[in-house]
Amino acid sequence: MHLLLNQSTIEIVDPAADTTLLHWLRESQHLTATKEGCAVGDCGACTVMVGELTQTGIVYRSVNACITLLGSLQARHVITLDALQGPILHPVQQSMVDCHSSQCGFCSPGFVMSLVVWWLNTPADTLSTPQAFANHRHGVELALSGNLCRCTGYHPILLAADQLAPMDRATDPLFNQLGGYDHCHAQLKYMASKPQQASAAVYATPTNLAELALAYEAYPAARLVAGSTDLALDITHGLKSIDRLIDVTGVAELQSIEKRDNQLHIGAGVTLSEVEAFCQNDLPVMSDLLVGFASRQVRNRATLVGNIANSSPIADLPPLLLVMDAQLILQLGLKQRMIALKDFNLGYKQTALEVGEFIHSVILPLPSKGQRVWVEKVSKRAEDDISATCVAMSVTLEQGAIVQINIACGGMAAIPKMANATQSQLLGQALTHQLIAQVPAWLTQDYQPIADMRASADYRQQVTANIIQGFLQAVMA
Amino acid sequence: MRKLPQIKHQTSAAEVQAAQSASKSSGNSIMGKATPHESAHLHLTGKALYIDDIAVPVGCLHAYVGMATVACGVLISQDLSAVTGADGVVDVITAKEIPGQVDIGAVFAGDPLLVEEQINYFGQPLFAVAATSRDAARKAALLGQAEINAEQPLLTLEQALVSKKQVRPSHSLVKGDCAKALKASTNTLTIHQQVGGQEHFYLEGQVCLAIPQDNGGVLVHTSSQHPSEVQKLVAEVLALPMHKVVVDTRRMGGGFGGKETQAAQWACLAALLAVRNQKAVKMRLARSDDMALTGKRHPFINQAQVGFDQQGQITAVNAELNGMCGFSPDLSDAIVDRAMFHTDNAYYLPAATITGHRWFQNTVSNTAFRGFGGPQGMMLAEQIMDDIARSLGKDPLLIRQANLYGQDDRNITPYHQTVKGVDLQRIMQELIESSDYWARRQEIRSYNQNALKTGGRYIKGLALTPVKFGISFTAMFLNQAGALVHIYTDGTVQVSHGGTEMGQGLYTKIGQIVAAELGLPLAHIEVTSTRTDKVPNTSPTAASSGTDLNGQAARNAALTIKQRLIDHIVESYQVESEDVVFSDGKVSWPSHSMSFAELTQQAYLARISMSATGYYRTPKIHYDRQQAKGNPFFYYSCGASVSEVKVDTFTGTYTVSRVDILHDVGESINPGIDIGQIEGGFIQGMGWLTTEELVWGQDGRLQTNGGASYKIPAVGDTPKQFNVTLLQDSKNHEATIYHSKAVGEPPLMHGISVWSALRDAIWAAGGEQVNPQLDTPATPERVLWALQAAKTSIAEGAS
Repeated sequence: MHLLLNQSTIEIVDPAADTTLLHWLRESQHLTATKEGCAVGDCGACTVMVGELTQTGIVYRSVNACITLLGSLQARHVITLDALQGPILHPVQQSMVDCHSSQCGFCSPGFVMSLVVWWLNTPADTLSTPQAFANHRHGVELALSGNLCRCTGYHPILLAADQLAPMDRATDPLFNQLGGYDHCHAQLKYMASKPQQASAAVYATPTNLAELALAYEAYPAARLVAGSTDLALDITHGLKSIDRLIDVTGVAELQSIEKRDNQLHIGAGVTLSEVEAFCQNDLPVMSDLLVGFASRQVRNRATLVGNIANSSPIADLPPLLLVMDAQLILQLGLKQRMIALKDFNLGYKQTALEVGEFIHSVILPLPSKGQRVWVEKVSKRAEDDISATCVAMSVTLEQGAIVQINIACGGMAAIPKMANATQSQLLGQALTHQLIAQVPAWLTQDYQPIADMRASADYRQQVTANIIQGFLQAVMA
Repeated sequence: MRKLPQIKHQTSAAEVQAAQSASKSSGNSIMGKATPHESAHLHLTGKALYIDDIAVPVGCLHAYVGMATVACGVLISQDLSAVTGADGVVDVITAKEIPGQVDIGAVFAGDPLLVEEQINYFGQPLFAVAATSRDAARKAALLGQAEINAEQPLLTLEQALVSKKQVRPSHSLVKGDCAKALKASTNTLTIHQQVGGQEHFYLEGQVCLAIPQDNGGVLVHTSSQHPSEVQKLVAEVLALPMHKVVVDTRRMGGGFGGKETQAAQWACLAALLAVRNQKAVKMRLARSDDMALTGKRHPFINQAQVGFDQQGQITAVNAELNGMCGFSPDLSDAIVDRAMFHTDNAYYLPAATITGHRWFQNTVSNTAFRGFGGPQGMMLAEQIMDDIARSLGKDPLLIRQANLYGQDDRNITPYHQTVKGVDLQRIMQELIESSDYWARRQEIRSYNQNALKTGGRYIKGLALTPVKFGISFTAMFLNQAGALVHIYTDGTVQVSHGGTEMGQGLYTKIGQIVAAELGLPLAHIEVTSTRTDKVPNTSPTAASSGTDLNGQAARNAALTIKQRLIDHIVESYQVESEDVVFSDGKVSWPSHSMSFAELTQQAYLARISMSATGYYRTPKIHYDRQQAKGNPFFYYSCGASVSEVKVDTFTGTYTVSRVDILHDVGESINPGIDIGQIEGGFIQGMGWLTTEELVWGQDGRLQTNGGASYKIPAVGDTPKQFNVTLLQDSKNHEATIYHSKAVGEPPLMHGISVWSALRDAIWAAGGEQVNPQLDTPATPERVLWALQAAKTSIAEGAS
């Protein structure tokens, strides 16, 4: 495989499946500007930029190097802070110096990289109205949602971003350091055009469905991987060796998100950031949920299908997908079948997938006319936290009566689970205060949550009931 | 003859520009300037080297520890054959292989480097392994087989009370006859509060690199706030004299107290393995192990009986503080003492008995953390204020103002120190005005009444709390510092001092101090890494004392050399010494002027020493612990904060929407750095009291051992409106360095206003009927239960 590291083209022959980008940068390349704070994607000290070829050019995104696998970076442009050590500081760096944005400095490289990506991808704005300022702050907070700082309290970093907002992006010195954007673009295109024998590698990168199906048939014990935002923790935290991985994110047929017949079709390689952007207009409830899903860095790598396939009880997307009657297209060899999401998760980390079968895509029906959809996640911290409970509901009311209702929760059972008992009590009923008052009792039939370090069982039950009651009250109003 | 460096006379345009911008901030004008952190450029370009970034010598080994899988028990035997046989393993050691002392307790014994017999907490290191890679060492460390007689761990206060097991004896402060005063009080109330612990979560975890030396000694790079203690302990563990051990700390990626004593264990293990194998050894803990194996802020369970009059003025407080110390004394004696010293916070207690207990638990040994017990004591004072207010139906702010220490009377603390140089009334009044407290109180009240009427989901709260924090180490001997200044013949200067840089800007301030004294631009001063071979026998960089102590020492060293240079000028040019001025990189007197560099060359040729040590010890402090009387503090650092919160009554989640802080740093040496300490301290204090929850399992294992489960504040938690102001026209009444005041720890306690504002919101949600109990951390769950209790009681009242 080939990748562009800052301005150097690097060839790596069959990289080990379980080498992380951070380990490779620090130990093999001796580039130490990128720091390890946690090695599990929680702190952002290792944030780097990764550029990927698209139809229109290179798109750069922030990622956590600690949980990004080296093998996934074929024909990618990896930019680390080492590229920004020129004689003149980048505007992001200068602004951070001016605003006292670093104290101990250990998190600073990650903040710089997150802000440089934000800077590149955000048009200049004079922040002349309160609304413009609020939008700007929101954008910066999203960009930095995966960067922890323990010294500054973030305020001087936010001030640095405020100063940057109106500055002219045309003078960005980053690409001057790297030989110019066009040069980088040409190099990536050249790398991408080279033939790869990628399907047989221990980190296999099939480029089309047939190759993927063949590779998975040949190595059914291999694990499929997309963003590796959860899988890499087995390596860095679990100290496990992983012999062979098959990466689905290069498979051309799995990269699209489309709206057809009032349904969203989301391929297995589509990242959460892409879903977040795509859904702004068609399904804002999804975009709003994603804003509170992990961090920008994680959403730039993790996929919607990964969140389903991982089959975690605290996955945040399944509750919403369940109440919207999502269907999955599964593929085994060249055969496809369709299964409702509600039938897919069989138990804790257990799914309906057969050996060698994978999720091809998700079909998500958009809300029908008159249908309302909510989702709310509750956690100790608003950003980058794991749910105590994540509650979703879809409901359709006709003449004051509930003619359709789905309720699903994450964090309340061994799998993200629908509240069948409560739904059946509510379905067909006239929506009244008396009816809503009975919800908590019904919910105890659906859920017997556990207590853990995130919340007690009682809290989970109580908050879930409060939120569902709140949704129903909003429907009534 | 050796040539002296050429002093350049031709300068490039860029240099002229640089010199001009430097001269703007040179000379005395550098004092009080918000110059950037000395490493800001290095931080932001990634060039700043932390220990894990240092290029290691060839053949460097990596160490890790094998950990106990019970929290309490007796180690019978260990089978480490699988460890020894694992890939890449070079050496494996147990306590038996330690040539010197096994115990590395900082003040009192009780902290074994490796377990000899008694296992006292889950994960306690049983053996150490050195291997050719960190991965190999970590994997091998999992392969140890230990035979252990497991015992039931002591984890809770209830268990501790039954066992009566303390790491140090209880101690009391007594002022007046508290029992009598309580009996005579018009009103009394009883308070019980639980205050949670806190993980430091420094972004750079514990790390060290030990390199054997040809003299049989060892050089240790450690991320430690206390290099001298690491030096002493490494020497003791290795049975080496101290002069064979050099410890170097250039910078830490955060410390917060978590690297005061907690860095020593890893440095000792790495040094031991390095000397045994005659190879460099690096040891860096993984985040989850760092969290499980190092001490945290002490949780406290506080109780008090409080007497007060109809105006809400306190008549007496009988307080009992239960510090949960973990398995060993570590620094707990001083930490619980400091909690007791701050049980008054900013308030005058006419009669008080304050008792502090130091309970044993089978957990890691809790340790220093910004505030050092002070915050836990202050929490009791602030709950007392809120609770008196609720019981009298008054705004808590009025109760706080009524109880503040006076200027000329009502100013004796429970430890019999007279509070001086503190104008708490002024700080409160200025903050009330700048934050528009009373108008916002009205607005919030109507917002809440409307929410209650209409069944609104959100409720708001507001609180203003003061901070008064005593400055000095309460262990008297630590209040000393040394420095070493060298001036070279090109006019540049190196400064070494005993303080360590953990991000707080100490090196920057030291540089400013020396630059100001010598009239040089900041760029001419290099503050070097903190090394035990430069300045010996140093104190930890702790207790907010870094600049107070080391700044004075560095200044004294600079003044010593400056005086020699002045004497030389006086002798050579027949001028009066008071006419000689050092400024803008020049030395001048009425008839002549020369560059500082020229002067240094003249001085060198005239055989004048341009190297000097400086020393400082804090005056005026004394404390008789037996009597619990004296002046443990040189002065007090004060401020106040107002926080406004918005609480979601469905979920108990909340946002802090606006915060105003007014803080007194005396004459600020660097307002940019001081404001940074205040903002960062506040957020850290807020995190401590809100989302940062430590959870242990019944087996004594830490459940919240990573960023995924332990939630420090993230960027979105910073208040949307965050106004931090330094108290104007303030000057430390004591002769501190340039009359500044220490700033490291005190701002953390401004976070208490967030907790108090949450209680205020819950009080409002209960129709101002129920005084809410809100233990900390006030997680959304605790807030929800408090809201529920408040609402239930309204419903009961209505029915």
